[in-house]
Amino acid sequence: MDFSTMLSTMASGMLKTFGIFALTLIGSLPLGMLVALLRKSRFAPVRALIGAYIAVIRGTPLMLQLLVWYFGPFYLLGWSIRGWRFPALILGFIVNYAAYFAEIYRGGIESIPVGQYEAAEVLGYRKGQAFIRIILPQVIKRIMPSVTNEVITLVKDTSLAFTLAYQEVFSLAKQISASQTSFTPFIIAGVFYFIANYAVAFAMQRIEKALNYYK
Amino acid sequence: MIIEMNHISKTFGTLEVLKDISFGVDSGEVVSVIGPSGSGKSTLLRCATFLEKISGGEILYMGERAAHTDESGKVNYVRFQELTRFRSYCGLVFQQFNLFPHYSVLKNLVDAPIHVQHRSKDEAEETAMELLRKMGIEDKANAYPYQLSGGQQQRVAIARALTMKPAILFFDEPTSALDPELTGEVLKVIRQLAEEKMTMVVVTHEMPFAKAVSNRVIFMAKGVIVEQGSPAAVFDDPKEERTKQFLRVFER
Amino acid sequence: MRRTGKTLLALAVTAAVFAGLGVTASADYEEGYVFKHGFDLDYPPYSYIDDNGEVGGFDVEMAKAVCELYGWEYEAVPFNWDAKDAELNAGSCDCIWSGFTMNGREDDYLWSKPYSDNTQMILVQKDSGIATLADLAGKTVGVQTSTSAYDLLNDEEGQKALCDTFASLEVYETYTIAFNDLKAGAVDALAIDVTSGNFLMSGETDYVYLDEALGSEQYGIGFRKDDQELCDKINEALDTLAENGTYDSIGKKYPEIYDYLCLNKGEAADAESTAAAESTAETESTAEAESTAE
Repeated sequence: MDFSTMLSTMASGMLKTFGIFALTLIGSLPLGMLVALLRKSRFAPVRALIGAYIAVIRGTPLMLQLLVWYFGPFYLLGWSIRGWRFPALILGFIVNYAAYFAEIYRGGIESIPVGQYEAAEVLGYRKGQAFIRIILPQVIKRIMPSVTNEVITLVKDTSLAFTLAYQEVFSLAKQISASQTSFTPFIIAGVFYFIANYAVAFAMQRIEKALNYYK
Repeated sequence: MIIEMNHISKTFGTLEVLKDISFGVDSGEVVSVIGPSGSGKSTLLRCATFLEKISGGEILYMGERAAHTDESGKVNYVRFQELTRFRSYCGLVFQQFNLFPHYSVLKNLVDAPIHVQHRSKDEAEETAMELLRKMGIEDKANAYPYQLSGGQQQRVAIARALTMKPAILFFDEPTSALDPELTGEVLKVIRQLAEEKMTMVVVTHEMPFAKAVSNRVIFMAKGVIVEQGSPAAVFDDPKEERTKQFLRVFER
Repeated sequence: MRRTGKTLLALAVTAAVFAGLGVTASADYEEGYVFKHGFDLDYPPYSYIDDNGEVGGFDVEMAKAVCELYGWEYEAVPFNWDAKDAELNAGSCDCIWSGFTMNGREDDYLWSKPYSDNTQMILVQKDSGIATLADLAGKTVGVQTSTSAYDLLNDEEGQKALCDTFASLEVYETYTIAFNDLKAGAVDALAIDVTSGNFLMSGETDYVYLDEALGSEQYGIGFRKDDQELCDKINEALDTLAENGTYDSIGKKYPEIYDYLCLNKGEAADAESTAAAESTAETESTAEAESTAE
């Protein structure tokens, strides 16, 4: 295999990696907020359910979760899983990352001084309004560093897609390395990951900077 | 009467913070509430502004009942929509200012009028700028709270409460979080409001201020009103031993 | 070859949860059937990514040839080796056809006839001074995890006794890394499937196998146990492809394993492979001529 073939084959894998990355973020960032809010629900059963969900997700390897998402429908429900590989993969990632984001959000929400809620309440804001207009913007600023960490971890976690034999860049690197008896694919993958994470760090830094107009 | 609170009690668990307190404020009146810490002054304010629910008694604004205790002893508040209306009658200035840090000064002042009271942006901004001018900080309209001194922040907070056009304004130790040299600018603003006949209840430790500005002084201790009357009566000729004891500390 | 035994924790749990369940075979292997070929993509030269970046390998070509024979549609289902049983039982693939060792799991699957032999060998540097298995005493030996060679060295009834004479057994994630360590002298020898070893050594001249083999085994195609019909059809097809020369001509493209292909053996195995070796040059020149003509 010549170098340019290797590069273009791996670039196609990188595209898949990016697909997992983007879809996971699009799904898990909002879902995490929903989970964080439900965790503070007034109904004890809801709180318990969310608590259990977070405990299970954080207490088991993502790899195992991916296997359950993919094979579960067949083995537990007897459904056909043809064409289910990619949806299962994305679902597994979203549900996993939502749990982590939820905990970050919760920490952020709880770090907002109670005076902010009270000031909003006295001024007559409805609860939802106060959350959207007053609390959330401050939460976002506070959690940016943790979110950045999590997003960078996600870039690297995408390689777990190999569990379901989805040919993202790291699976491809392994396979091409085996067929070419060469390390080069791993080095290329490393460069890809580094560039991706550099871009993520840069983007997050820009966002953090943009939020720096107040303290 | 702007507000009337009758037989108010408030307990946190087994702790009785307010015990059968009754008091009212007339339009244009300035009432100072003094007393040692833990006497229930702040809790009284928080009950009056609906931040805390009372455990017994009744609250009336403009003669209308916002909360009352039924025969079984259960406290009933009016429905949410109505409560919102009652809330709009009162404003509260916090010890810690509690400005919204992500909003500019002007935005702090106009956000609630626009999004809660649905007033026009132009009108809200005009009102806000007028208030800032009155507070002597119109040049800070586009600054962010962290760029202001404590005294300036508290003046913004007062202006923010006033933009809602409340019938009565409560102050919860408005100068306690300030450096001594900054208290003056805040007290000056409150004094100015008093001259304009703004109805106010001020919880404070600034005795000379309370004496000079208020029409009536309430001395609270251990969840009850020990003594109340004109500043002259309470400060210069206190009847109760507990009051005398408290005031003696400040004379030294 | 590789991959007996060792599975991920994850798979163990999955298997435990799901044990005993399985898809029932669809009996409709008519023309137009979509044949789902399950395989691991990093097992060259049986199934791997070829020089054009496409899915290829001996097993893949054979599976495609079978499909052509029956008018089936070929679908590649590359899977994660550790999840192969879950994939097979869930029906996301019809078979495990990926340089799959029959020995030791005879009862776990319905097996096709074996189509390739394999031996586990010891690979050393030419000038290492190691000539027999006994010479490995006190040496450091490398092996890839989840391979037949690895299992053999850990099997009491296999070569565990020999393994105990080593100074240490270094377990690698891939032979690519292990081979680099052999080159660098970090290990003295590699225990390896001969097919994998041949593949690694293409283009290298400084390495030799010891004459004594560690063990030997055979590759077959594994089916779900209730899928006799498909197993029969594939066996039939293998016979046909062996008879009409397709098996041989595909095999010639993979010189590393050609000598080990066993479907035609038994009758005139030795004569055949000699003849085949001679005809290799011929085939290549024909291929060249064809491409020039285009």
